[in-house]
Amino acid sequence: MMALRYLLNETWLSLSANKIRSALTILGIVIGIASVIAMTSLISSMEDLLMRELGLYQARMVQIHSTEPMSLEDAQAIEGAFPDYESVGSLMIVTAQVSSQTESLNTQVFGVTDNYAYIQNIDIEQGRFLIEADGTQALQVAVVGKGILRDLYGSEDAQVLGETLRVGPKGEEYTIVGVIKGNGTSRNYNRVLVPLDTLHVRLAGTRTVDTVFALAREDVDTVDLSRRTQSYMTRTLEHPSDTVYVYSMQEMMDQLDLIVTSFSFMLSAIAVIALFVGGIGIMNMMLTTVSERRREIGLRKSLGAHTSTITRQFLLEAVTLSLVGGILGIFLGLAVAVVLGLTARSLGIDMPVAPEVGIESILIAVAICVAIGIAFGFYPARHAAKLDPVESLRYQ
Amino acid sequence: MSEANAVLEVVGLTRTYQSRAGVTEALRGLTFTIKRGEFVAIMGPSGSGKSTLMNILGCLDRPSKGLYLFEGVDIRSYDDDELADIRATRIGFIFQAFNLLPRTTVLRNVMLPLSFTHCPQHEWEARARKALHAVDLQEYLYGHRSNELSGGQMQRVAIARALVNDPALILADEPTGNLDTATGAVILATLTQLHERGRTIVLITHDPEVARRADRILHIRDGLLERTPHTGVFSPADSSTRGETASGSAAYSGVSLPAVASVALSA
Ligand SMILES: Nc1ncnc2c1ncn2[C@@H]1O[C@H](COP(=O)(O)OP(=O)(O)OP(=O)(O)O)[C@@H](O)[C@H]1O
Ligand SMILES: [Mg+2]
Repeated sequence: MMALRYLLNETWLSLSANKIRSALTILGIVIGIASVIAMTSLISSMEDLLMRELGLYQARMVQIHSTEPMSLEDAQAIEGAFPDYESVGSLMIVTAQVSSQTESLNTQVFGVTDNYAYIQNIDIEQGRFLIEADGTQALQVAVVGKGILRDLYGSEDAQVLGETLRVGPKGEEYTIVGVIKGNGTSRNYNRVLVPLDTLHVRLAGTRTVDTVFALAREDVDTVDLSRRTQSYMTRTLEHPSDTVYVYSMQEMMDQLDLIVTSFSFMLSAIAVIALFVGGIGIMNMMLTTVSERRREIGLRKSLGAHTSTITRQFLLEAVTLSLVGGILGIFLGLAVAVVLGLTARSLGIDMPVAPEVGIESILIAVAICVAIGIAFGFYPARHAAKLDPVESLRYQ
Repeated sequence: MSEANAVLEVVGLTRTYQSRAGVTEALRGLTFTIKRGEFVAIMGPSGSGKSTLMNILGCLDRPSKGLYLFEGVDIRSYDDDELADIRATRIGFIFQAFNLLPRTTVLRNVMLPLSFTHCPQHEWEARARKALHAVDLQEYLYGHRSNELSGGQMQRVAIARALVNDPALILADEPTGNLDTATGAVILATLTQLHERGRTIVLITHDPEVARRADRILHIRDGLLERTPHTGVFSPADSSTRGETASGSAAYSGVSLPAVASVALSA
């Protein structure tokens, strides 16, 4: 009956008659929707990041740390005692000065067994990873992350195979045999990896182990396996129970999952509260509008508007308000996501800058806004529609 | 008793208001008929029930007791939406306070009642222009916002709005009450002109000068029709308080009505 364009035009006229009030009213919706959008994009990039960083492959990994030194024999004993492990390796970390011909810096030097690359799922960009022979002969060879290339050889893409790297206080010479793939966010970016035996002999002066890492076989319950490993470490290998920590990567992923979940729960709560407050704001504004425009309502009714026509008119105003708020909120949310992405980048976290906001999230946001407009606009609209035309026309 | 050329008939029309202060009997049993093409003035002191009567005649309110036939149909048979439809299509209102939508253009103000009817939207503007022509509003004002107009211009826009649906009845409650004498005279001339073109007009006024322009004057006092003093040619000769139709005067209907009624629908 009433042409939609005409109705929308009317709606726009009356909302723009009170621009500031309308703007203030939709602030709650803007914030609510912005946090929904920022949240969904943030969570999807966070999950993305975590999946990329940990990888599904590493869900099978178990790490054993101790505040007391462990030994290579511990690692061998574990490997012998648990056939559920496909592979067990060890590492020791020292901090040392490393230098090229021209540059030098302090960084972590990892002594690792040759299965480190397999268990940790490391990809090589140039050359090769360490092999068993490097260890048994205690060769002075090194595999480095690209951060080392950038800082010591001028560029992440410098060709360094065969170059000499000086390591440690004595400046012993190591030949670079490989470069680890991965940009600034990957774990090995700033590391120098040498054979564990070489590190023991040349750099550490002790033959201890900081971390034992192991890869469980497929379909093994790694959480249970890590418990059994823990009790094996304390009962059989007689490490004091308060010094040994066994983590399964699965457990850590579950924990991270929990963090992401509670984070999104918190953001959802904020969004729900903001949207609720926004809805109340709309209701409040609509009630004010209705009482201010009593004469207009009385006039419309006396000129023949049905109750349903008035209801529709004010519902449309409420929905338009919350929809405009929602659309602004979507843009604000995207902007926040971009800013967060850029901030994360500048902090060295590899988050996608272009926020991942699917069409579904936008449709959901729009649906939420329409629902809020209807839910909170209904009472004022009904109130308006039920006004008595005679009474309303007398109203000054 | 329903007459073929009657726009409306009321019989024993009563309206009582209940309020905390008690019961007010605003109308206490009015009976009269208004025929097609008539120009009737309703006069009476303040509080006598004129606006109450106009609200009922305009289908904005329902009688507490008594009968109201609008175009031959008892309005009790209509529900609220049907009454709204009658207001939208059959009745034009002119208010003392103009009641235009401010910040809205003249043209859109006049189009407003059309938005409550089944009239297709592409016809709205042409009909609004036609109605504005009928009240002689200068065309350059059509695009102005209504709050930019003078009082007299506003009331002419309001009259155009009342005309736009080609109503059977125009109801005007003190249309000149907010205007100075000269402007009021112009508005009155506009209404008289509409009447001459066949419109049925019921006009409420305090002002005897205004009422004199009508074919017939109904005097109300304390909710009852008064026997009208014989002041002029146009006053009804019969006693309306007894329940006879005020227009039943043979002299009146015989002389002035048929000529007017014949052009009523062609306007
Ligand atoms: N909504 C209402 N509730 C209670 N009493 C009312 C209401 N509306 C009108 N009245 C009473 O009904 C009587 C008639 O009022 P009405 O407005 O019809 O008078 P009127 O003739 O139009 O007066 P005026 O010339 O001052 O406009 C008055 O006594 C008034 O107080
Ligand atoms: Mg009155």
